Amino acid sequence: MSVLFFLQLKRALKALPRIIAGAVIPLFLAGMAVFLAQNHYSKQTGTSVSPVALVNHDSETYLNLILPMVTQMEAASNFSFTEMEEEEAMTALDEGRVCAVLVFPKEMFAGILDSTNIPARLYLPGGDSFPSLLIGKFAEAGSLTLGSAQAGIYASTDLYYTYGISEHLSDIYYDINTVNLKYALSRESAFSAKSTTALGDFSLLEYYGCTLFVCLLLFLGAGMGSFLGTPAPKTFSEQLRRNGMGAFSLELSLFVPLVLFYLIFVFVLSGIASVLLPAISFSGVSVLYLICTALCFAAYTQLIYSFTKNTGRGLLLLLFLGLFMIVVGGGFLPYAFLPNICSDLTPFLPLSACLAGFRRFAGGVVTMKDCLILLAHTMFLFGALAVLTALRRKEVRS
Amino acid sequence: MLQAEHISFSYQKKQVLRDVSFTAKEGDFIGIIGKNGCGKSTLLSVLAGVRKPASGSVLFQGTPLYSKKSDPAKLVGYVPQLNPLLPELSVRDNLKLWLRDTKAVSAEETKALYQKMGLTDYLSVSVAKLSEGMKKRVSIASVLQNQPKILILDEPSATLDLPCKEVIHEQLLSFTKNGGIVLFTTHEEAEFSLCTTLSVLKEGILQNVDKSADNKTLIQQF
Repeated sequence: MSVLFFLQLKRALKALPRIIAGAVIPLFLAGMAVFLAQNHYSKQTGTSVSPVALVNHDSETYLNLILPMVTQMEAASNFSFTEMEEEEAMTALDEGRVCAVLVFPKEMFAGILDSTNIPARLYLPGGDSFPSLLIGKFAEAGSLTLGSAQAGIYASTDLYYTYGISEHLSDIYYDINTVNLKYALSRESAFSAKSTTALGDFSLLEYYGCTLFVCLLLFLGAGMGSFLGTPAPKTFSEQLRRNGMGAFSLELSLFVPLVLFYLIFVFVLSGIASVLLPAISFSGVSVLYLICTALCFAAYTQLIYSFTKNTGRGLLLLLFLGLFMIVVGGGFLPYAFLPNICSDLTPFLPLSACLAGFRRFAGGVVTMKDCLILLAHTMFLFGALAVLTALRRKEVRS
Repeated sequence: MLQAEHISFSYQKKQVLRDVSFTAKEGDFIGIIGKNGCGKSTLLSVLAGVRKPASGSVLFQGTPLYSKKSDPAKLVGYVPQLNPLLPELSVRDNLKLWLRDTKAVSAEETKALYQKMGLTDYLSVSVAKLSEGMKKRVSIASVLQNQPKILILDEPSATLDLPCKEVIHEQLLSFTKNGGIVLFTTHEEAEFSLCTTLSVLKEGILQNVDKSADNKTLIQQF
């Protein structure tokens, strides 16, 4: 028996380059997917800069003072403002070179001060392009800010009249206007980006890093097809049985090197992850969780290849079921975008549970419950493997 | 003495072996012929203890060969049609895997066997790199190294070249000369002359035939 275990380990070691190669290509593709997802995500959150044409017909000094303050605000950092003539700006809007045209009419600033309120005009293209909608909201928020500044100016003026010191008003009128507008515009909290994310406490890279970890283990399993999917001919197991080593011994002799491989990969990958994620700790529970992950993956991989008894079919089933479980576990789209049943199913699917557990491991909050869930999955998978082996044995003997 | 008594075997509804009985004594070289799919391999697998017969038994020196207490692999060496080898491993590793009792067989004896089978230069070579003939030699050597009393071979020389067949025939003859019993299936006319008994399996029934009969006569009995 020990010779069989030793030789299976040797066989597995010989297949190691193919196992790693089998994981590298899908890993590259997965890496590309994450990169593209990140890029897509960045565009949606507006880190790309959208051009806006600014047409200023007002020669008022204040406006010239305030405009740079507005255009340089953090909330406006998604837009690049370029001053243009109105005609040129409208042409640029028609040609799609700018996403909006903001026109300040003559006497607009004076209108703010004397409450005649000559409105600024905002031209947006037809359709619902994201940058146009954003600048619309930005202008709306800007008008509210200016409104509050205007109210401040009127309030100050009224106070001067109420306390009978209106004679001093002309001396400080300029300061009242400037100070009110300055405070109103600096109240960027009105525009501050409140980050609400479906990824929980993780950044995008951390979140998909966890997915990548599970995917990598799955792809390593796919690479193990060269070791598991092409077992020796049926006569090999027959001979083993004749020599007193049953089908269970054969399965166990394959399981042991598989667990060893997964343990090495799991600990190496977690070690790398711990450099990037400071929350990861290698406490007793964490180490137990990693061992359970290795056991669970080994049992899953072996069950699939043992069931199909074929490298190609095994590979397809392994990836199909594996990716399905990763999807259900919120590996590609967060739970917020998935039906509720996905989060409900997660503890009951081995790879989904692995993914959920690894997220907690990465966040430094992995618990004994996570370990027990994976251990239960391992026992179930290995139990299914034992039943399958027993059924096959009965079939061959009869 | 090996005795097969009233062996029957079915694959679901299809009966492959019907009341097969025969006796083989030490030194016998029994060849089994028959049409493709007639059940020759099934018969050998039953005799080797891989499959359990629906009825009947196999006895060696009067005691059942395949009971719970017995260790048939010690007495019976079985070489199936497909080589039971792990292709990624070396010849040495494969031989080591099937060596049952390292204490019972001396290193000199195994070394001499490997020499006779022409394997000495290939011990470190991976099985995947060997020709079919060499793989068959390894399979036979893996069984012979355990010094069994009975050797069961399923088409041992199929697809092999002449020098390879020669080596295998020499080993099998030497085995029977030393008191062993060989049972094998074949389609090779040239191998009929090696046999002390030639039997044909037809519709599940095993019957002895005259090995010196010409091809036409033999074909009529298929």
